[in-house]
Amino acid sequence: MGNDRARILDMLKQGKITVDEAEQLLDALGQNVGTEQTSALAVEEKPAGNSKRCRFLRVCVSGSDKENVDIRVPMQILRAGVKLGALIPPQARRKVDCALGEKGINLDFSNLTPETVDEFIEGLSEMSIDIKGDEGETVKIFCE
Amino acid sequence: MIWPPSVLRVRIDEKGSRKINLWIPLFLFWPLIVLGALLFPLALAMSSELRKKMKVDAVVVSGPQLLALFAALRGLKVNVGGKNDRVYVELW
Repeated sequence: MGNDRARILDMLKQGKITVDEAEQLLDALGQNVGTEQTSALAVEEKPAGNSKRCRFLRVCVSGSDKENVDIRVPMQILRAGVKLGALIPPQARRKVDCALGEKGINLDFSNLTPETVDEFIEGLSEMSIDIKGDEGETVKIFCE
Repeated sequence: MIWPPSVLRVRIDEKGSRKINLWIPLFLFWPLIVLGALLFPLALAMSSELRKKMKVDAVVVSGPQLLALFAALRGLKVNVGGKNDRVYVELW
């Protein structure tokens, strides 16, 4: 910004542009700066609007006969687990992938990065599963 | 920074037997846990099998990562109940 202003004044000094032209250029520069500041503020405000952050995964299962399960898992475990999992040597990771593949779970742990986990958790914040059985059993899975 | 869990509560209710209700102050074990996390990379490095396969930086950060995993347990709650018994575990 400072460079542009100095260049305009330099051009005016050298007589390349008139006073009016310099004024117009400086005005235009000022408007650009104003627009940039407004867009920067908009970017800063965006995360504040999306304030709902998924901290826990909650699983509630209640049966017909006083049987119930209520589990609250911090999402931070997932993040920390992925970071720790990244330290597993590739040979061991391949074995884990093969073992999971034998169970029918085709998951490649090498593609799992903290960034993808964050995206996954962000997506989970909107998720809510509510299942009701014929005999009053309910299963609820949601984020809080 | 996330602080590690400071209290573990375990409650076991079983019909016809004595109830167990434990409040375990985990903060008393924090120094031991930190020590364990610091010694863990050394133990990994001493393991000849792992030394060949793991990179040096991975071994070094494994201790703090393990500590972070423990800290991430704060807020975990498990409450499982049946007709006659109930198990409740919570970490603060």
